[in-house]
Amino acid sequence: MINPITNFLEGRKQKPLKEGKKDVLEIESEYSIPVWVANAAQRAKQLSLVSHPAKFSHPDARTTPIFIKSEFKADGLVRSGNVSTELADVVGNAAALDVYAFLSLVLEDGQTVLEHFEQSTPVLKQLLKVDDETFSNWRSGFLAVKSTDQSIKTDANIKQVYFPTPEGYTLLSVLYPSALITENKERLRKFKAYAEDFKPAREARKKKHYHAAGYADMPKLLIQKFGGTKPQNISKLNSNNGGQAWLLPCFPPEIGTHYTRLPKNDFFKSLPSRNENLQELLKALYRLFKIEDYTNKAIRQSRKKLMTQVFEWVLGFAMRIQEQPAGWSKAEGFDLPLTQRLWLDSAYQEQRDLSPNWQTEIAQQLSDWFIFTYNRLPKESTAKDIHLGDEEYRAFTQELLDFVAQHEEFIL
Amino acid sequence: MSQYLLIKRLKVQNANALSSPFTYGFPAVTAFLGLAHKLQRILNRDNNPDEFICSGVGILSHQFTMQDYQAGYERVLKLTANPLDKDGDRPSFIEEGRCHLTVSLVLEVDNLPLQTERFLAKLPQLMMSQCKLAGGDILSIQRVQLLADETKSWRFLLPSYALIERRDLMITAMQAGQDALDALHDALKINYTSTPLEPVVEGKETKAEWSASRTYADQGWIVPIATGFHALTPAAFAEQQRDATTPHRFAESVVTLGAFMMPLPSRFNSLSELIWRYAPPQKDLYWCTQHNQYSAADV
Repeated sequence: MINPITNFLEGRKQKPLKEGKKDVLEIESEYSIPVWVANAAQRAKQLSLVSHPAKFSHPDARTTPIFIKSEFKADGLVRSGNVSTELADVVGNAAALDVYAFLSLVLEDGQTVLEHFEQSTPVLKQLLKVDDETFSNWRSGFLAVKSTDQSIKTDANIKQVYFPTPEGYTLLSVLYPSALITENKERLRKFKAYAEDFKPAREARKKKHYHAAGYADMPKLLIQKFGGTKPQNISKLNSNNGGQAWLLPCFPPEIGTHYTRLPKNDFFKSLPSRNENLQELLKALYRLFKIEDYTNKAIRQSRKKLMTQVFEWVLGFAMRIQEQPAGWSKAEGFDLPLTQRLWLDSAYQEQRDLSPNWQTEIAQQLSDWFIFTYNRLPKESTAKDIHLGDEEYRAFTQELLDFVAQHEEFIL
Repeated sequence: MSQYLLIKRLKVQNANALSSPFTYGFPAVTAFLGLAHKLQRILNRDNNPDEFICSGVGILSHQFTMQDYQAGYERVLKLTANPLDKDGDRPSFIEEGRCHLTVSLVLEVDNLPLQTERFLAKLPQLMMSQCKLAGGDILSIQRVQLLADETKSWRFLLPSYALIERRDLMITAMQAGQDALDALHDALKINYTSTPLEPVVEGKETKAEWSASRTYADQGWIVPIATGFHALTPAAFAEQQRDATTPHRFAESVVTLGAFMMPLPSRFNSLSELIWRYAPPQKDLYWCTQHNQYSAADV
């Protein structure tokens, strides 16, 4: 039978043996079970097992070691307990991390050395080949990584938030869940362009070839670094992560920060109809319309949601143009219909009252554009079954007209 | 009866853009409620329920710029470290994410001061001089107005995108067996799938059309957003806490899904549906939520 502990020590002594700075016999003895494990048991107190290391907040932050296990609850929140992970973190003297490596060794039954120590198993006792007294000494040494510290200490370098409650306030010291950060990074890895998981599918798309499974992408991830050149000073898991956390983007849709192309003759013709977001919406709409029972209520609801989004997409562009300096449409080379000037150029605001129907007219132009753009989408594709039948086309056109008419007052 | 106060086009510089360990970008909901609460404290030092109360805030985004840049495959933060040390070298730093943003806020208020007009007139100056938003400076406020008639009020909110809670999507996914991180990733990733344009033959390459889609394509612009905190330890006194009399707990940020939607009455029944409020206290949760057709019943 292989003894995983002997294996572990065998692995560790290779480096000093190679360096040859010490006598071989001396090294052999240093890495024998009685010597190395006894020494490790003494050093174990330099480490603490934690779930929320303080140094992510600030390298000088010191708090009571926090080691928490929370329950799962389908409450819709990313938090400890709601993410399945076996990871645990450890902080303390980075030079003692080999002790933690030893404690996290997995034995034949799937449990770690630490778990075996906690339960004082005969299996472990036998692997270590020691008497009861030594074993119990080692055990208490190693269990020091699970802090029993009764004092509670936070730190001035930790973000401390006053949260209002009916009784007044609660002060919250906000810590980082390093196991969750690690889990997040591990799971995002497969979305990376260089990750092996989706490589064949990515290649297939480049060549426009079929790939049954397809792939997924997670754009705009941001790297946050912890610990500079010494990530091991923050925590063990941070060191494993190379000091990086990967963050997901939360960006609102943009209004007006883009380069804005002013329409010369017709606002609707100037819209970038090939825009990725719009195409995605139109295709989703199309897929819904292809479902045979196009009068089904739930599907109608979904269609309405998508139409609202297309409507918003157009309004977004209109709003960008409305932010331009008043009178832009009077410049040379611009020849917009009056209704569009009333709508888009603030210089014409006062004249709006003189043309009471301008919103209806814009609504009409909007639905014309919508139907035109939607109908052009399939033609560009080479797939066959993609044209709408006459009946569907009429039904959809009517739905669109109704929808835009209902939203007339939002053409502002 | 609550009233709604529109703070139009609040321009903020260098707000915190790292509001949770999982996300970057738009500040956390707690930051906006923090500003609302600060305003209440300025006008009503003791949080007296008979005086000015600001119980919630609607968040409308106009413009957002993240201070970051592309480096290879990833984005990284634009950082500053100053002052330089005595040798003129850059001191080591803890990374801080910053962003500039322009937002409008719909404050849900009670007991407005009697001289309301005067109060509204001095409010921008008061906010700019005494409040911060997510640690960022408030540079300007276009105007402040009462939203009197609800149905006509909506047009004053445009053009903007309102931040709406979509925790319901997460709950549904989690009840179906996903854990929280998978549910989050699933909602945000872009799926690329292909449809063959000719019969598929084993071992031969087939021409295909590729398309991109999101899991919740018909649900609008879905984002991850930090909405509060999950307490880890029981309330107790801790050494080095900011003051000795407030109960202290260790905590972590919680993140859920949200959506940016144009505030159109086709989507909402009342202004109240845009408002984020502190959720009633639960054992270990200190967080913010909304009440509308999208927000889930509390589990």
